[in-house]
Amino acid sequence: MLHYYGIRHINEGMPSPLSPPAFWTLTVLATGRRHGYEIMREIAALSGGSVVVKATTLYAALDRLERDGLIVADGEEVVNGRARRYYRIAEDGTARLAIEAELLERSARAARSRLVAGPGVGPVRPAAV
Amino acid sequence: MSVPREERFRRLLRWYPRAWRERNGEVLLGAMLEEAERAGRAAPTTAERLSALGNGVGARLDARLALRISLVALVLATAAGGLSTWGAAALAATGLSWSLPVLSVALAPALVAVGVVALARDRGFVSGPVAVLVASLSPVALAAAALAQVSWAAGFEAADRGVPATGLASAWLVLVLVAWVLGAATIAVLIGALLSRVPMPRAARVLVVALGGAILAPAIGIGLVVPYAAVFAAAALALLCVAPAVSRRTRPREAERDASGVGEIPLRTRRLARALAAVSSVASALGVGYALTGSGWGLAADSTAAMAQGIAIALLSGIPLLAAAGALAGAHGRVRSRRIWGPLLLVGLALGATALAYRGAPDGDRMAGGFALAAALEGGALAWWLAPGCAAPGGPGSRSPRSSASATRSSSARSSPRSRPSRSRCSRRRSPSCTRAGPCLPRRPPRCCPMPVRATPIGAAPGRGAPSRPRLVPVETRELGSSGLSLPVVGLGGNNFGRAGTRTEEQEGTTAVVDAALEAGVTFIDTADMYGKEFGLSERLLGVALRGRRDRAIVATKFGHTGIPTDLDALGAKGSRAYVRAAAEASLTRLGIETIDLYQQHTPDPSTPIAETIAALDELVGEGKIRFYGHSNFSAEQIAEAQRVAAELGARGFVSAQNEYNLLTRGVEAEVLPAVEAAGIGFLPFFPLANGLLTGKFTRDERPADSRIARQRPHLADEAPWDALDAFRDIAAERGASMLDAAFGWLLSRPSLTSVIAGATRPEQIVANAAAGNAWRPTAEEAARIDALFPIG
Repeated sequence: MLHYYGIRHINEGMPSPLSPPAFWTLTVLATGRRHGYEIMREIAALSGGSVVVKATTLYAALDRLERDGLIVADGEEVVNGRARRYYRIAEDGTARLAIEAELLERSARAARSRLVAGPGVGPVRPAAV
Repeated sequence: MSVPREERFRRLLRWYPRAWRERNGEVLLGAMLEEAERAGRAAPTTAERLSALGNGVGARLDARLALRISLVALVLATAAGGLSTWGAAALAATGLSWSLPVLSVALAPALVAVGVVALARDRGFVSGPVAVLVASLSPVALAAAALAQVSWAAGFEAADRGVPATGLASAWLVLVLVAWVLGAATIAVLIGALLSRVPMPRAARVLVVALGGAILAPAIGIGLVVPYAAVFAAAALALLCVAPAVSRRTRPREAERDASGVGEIPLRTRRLARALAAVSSVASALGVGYALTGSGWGLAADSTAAMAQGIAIALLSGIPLLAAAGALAGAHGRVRSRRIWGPLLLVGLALGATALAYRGAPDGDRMAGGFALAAALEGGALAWWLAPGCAAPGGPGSRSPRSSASATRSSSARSSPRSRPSRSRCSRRRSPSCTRAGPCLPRRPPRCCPMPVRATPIGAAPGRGAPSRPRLVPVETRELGSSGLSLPVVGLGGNNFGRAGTRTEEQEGTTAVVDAALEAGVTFIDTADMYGKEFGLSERLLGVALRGRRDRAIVATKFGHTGIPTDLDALGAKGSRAYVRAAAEASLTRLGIETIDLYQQHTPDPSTPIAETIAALDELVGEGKIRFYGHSNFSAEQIAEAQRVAAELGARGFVSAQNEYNLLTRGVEAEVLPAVEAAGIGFLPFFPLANGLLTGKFTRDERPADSRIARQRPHLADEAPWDALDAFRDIAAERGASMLDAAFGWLLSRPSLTSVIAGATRPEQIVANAAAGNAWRPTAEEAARIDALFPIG
């Protein structure tokens, strides 16, 4: 397990997995620019309420994602006296999210194939012939 | 309430460092307040307070702090080492022998621990709250360890003198246990955080975390008994701080960076550095092994000699590590090489001198000379490092790989008109640099990369600062319910696009209206699949009009008007999953866009359970095909039911209601508006101008010949309450407002009302509507007079 996410990531130059707030933020921003509060609400909606990100956590994630060049600030405005800053995903962010999705998909595929196979199937051995 | 809500939340910002506050404080506050308003809270929750504390203080723990701390720790630990070598007897004589463990077991290692988590947080390994937790727990654990050592020593002394151990001297076991438990907990938190993103079975994670904490804590505690252990820990931390982060995330760009050349670390250098570091680790492990077992198989005559030789090997094994750090720092090419290699050479010589000193072990007098030389060399290195005009390796003046990488990215994206200086290019501000303001340091800009503000703040003069593409609008904006989607208070209805006999029947007229709307800040455009002389025409015309500038508009459309037969009816009822999905796809195609911002059910569909429609719409949100969904023409009960069902499904639910509402048609005020308010959604009135009757173009006797009322619905004008309309016109005129201004202003003063969607067939109507949106709001007294003029129902 460490091999998968740790050693291999380092050796093959794969990025380490995104933290949940970072993952969901990139996912929300993938379809367009949003401001912080919109991101919070959409994360809650997209994840079916299973992930609720507090504003403080979100802005820590936004700050880091921006610093890493995965997202870019894209304008500010004041609505009802509340300051809002829009963010959009950067090219690197899109690529990063695609990699993350691919990794998650691989894990999910592996799990699903085992579930389908059901119990009783022995360990996978390399084909003898 | 004595303290206003905003003030209570603003107080949370005090935890954040000033620079962070200046950059993000207002927007964070805005988001917290919006959330609090949605949830109806007047003060932050405990979780919010803790989160602000964790993230705020956490943001202060950065690599710069880690470097400073590590240098202080290095000095303290070196002092403790010196004291243990030469001053132990003197300390014992003056009764200050406790100061040695306090220094070398508690103070210096605690600083190192705080530095380590600060560095880990800076590099993204742990979150702010975890860093704060570890940084506050570890000093306590180490203090307990130091106390345990003092107590242990006191116990020995008592035993030497043959007196029973009392007080502190008798408490060593409890103190050891406390230190162990606290230390194990601290390390467990750290390991747990580091492993949090590694997928592994829960049981395995618990085992690794618990065992890791339980084993590492005493190992560190025992290791710290050697006074010089903290010196190495502090030195290692300092090296880690200044060694450029060979970060995993920059690795995929190795080839690219190698090609870009200047200022980047060549792959070869990094491989060399990695190899040198590996040699160091292996050699130091060998040294430790030799120290413990060398008497059995090595050259050492006895275990004491083996210990001394092993320590010497371990010390000398640090030299390749120094070379690695020097190679990495030198590869940046921004710091003169003698300022890297000079201090490093001195540190290397100090290691050598210490190793030589151990030849005299365990005789302190014979070792003293070596230690003195080593201390002098280390002091020299530190002075060289910190002297004005000098820079720490890889520190001031050098670019961190992160900033270099993003600079590379930016340069490759320079051709794109959207590329702008990303703040990450300024990350050197937070990279381990700028330990001091010396003459050779790049002057820190007063504000690093000021945020490009494209949007015009509310209240700012339109066009001020002349953003090339005005996104935000001179028109006021309001949030649609609690969705977070903000809309201009004036929207554009698309029901005239493609309507026979209007100027917007064809593309040209539609594009002209859309041009004017975007120009005026009327960026919310609401259409429907059924609008236009043929099904879908309005969407198609709008799609063409928005081509190439889709991101400037908030696009809303509608589906499933039960009165209109469509090609998709074979799929099922208009609220069914299959129909909704197909209708959305068709609208997206006609509009030529990827996401509909607000997708509305045009009329309720009594034949489909609302749960199915909500689930289908939620699915579309999940797929990114729509951002929000709303309804139209729903009754109060249907609105309440939809809200209840959405909550049961755990779905976000409808965010808007669109019903007919104007001065002449106030039926919604009885039940629908209260239901909308209760549901916390936004209200969008249609026919806000009563087909034009409220525009002021009509009077009792005059009707513009080209108007729809004159042509198609003359009865509307015939039956209009002209006395009331004239009185309304007079009320507006008292304040210098037109009837149009007053019609908009009256609607916008209603609760839950977000945006007045008005149709337009000519650009000048858009301009008038936009102006009317901001022009006038009735006073309470005027509102009462108007209310009295136009009966509800």
